[in-house]
Amino acid sequence: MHYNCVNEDKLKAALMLYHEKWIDSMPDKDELNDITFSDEFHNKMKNLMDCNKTKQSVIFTVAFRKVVALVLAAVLSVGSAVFGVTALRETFLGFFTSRSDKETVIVLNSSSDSSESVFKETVFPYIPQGYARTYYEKRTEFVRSEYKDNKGGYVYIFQSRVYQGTIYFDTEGATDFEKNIIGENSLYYEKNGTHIFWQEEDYYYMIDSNLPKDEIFKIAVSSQK
Amino acid sequence: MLLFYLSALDTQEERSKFEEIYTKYGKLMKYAAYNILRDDSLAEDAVHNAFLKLIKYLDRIDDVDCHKTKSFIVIITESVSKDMYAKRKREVAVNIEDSEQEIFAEPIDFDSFDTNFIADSIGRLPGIYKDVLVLRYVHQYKDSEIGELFGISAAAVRKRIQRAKEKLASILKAEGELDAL
Repeated sequence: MHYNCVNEDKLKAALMLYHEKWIDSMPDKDELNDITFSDEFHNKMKNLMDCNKTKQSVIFTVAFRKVVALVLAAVLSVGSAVFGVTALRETFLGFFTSRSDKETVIVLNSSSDSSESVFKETVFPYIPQGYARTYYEKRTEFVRSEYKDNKGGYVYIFQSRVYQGTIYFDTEGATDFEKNIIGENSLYYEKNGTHIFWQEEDYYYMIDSNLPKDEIFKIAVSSQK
Repeated sequence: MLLFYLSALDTQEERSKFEEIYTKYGKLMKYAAYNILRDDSLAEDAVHNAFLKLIKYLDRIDDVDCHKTKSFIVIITESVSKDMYAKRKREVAVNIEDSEQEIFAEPIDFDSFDTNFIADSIGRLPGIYKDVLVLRYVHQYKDSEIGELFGISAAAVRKRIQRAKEKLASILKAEGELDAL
């Protein structure tokens, strides 16, 4: 027989008491004195915290979040397929990734303050036949374009300055996860479409589409010619 | 479609809060992670991953130096560490919904137990049960928020809370009977 008739007030009171006891049982500052961290760890944490943000970058992140929110709002019909992915961690050039079953995290680190320079928009000469640009937005910190055909095909292209920050990709259940697909600072994965991300000099790029891998790859590399 | 989001320490306030948490709880986090992983390097990875996760919740932390914040941070660290432990052991990711055994307990009257006695019995619950109960009743998180934290659905959270209560009832009953002997 299941027991499911708990007195909620009593349970809450007991939990508050348990919580206090639990906190009290944790080691205090003196007991943790022997715990140390490696230099590597300190450096990684410094990367996370060392966000000497300029006013421009704050504007960028806020604006960008709005863009992402708009896109996500139209998109959150994500399937819940669970696909085990081997956890991996690695560090390379300007950013590092940390990948778990749920997400892939990229911590961006800008080596130079490019916010003062003029935003140099990258041209993508290859767009598949039948696609026409349906949206274009250019701001001081990023540019994004949307292309569609009349059969439901779409291509979203983002270009943004690189700033300190953390990007989370929902790669849970992603298939064909591949790094370094177009240079060292890049990753590709498939989940409800195809996605490619890369960093090049002071900019990072993201292309998102329902085109097959070879096509999205052709779009990406066309910018590098 | 596009499935990413950007997070960063946008403001000086967030940055200060992050640094304060790092300074105040970094060692405790490593202590909690090490207790699960028993490996210094892995424990540091777990702490780092826990901080990456924490960035998303910074706006919900009003006071760094309070018990609620402390328990929230330890719960996140332990959750990340347990995930890493499971993967290292090449176990299937702990699917609580599948792996938890059905718990059966006869109805008992909670009111007949002393609050202190119930609190001690909560301490004997498996970690996954204690965590959801603390987040729900102490931190007052919604099912969906707890689910996001642990990477499970809101329905799974509700199920876990239900099972936690059932398990608690069975512990109370068993210990109550022992006390009566």
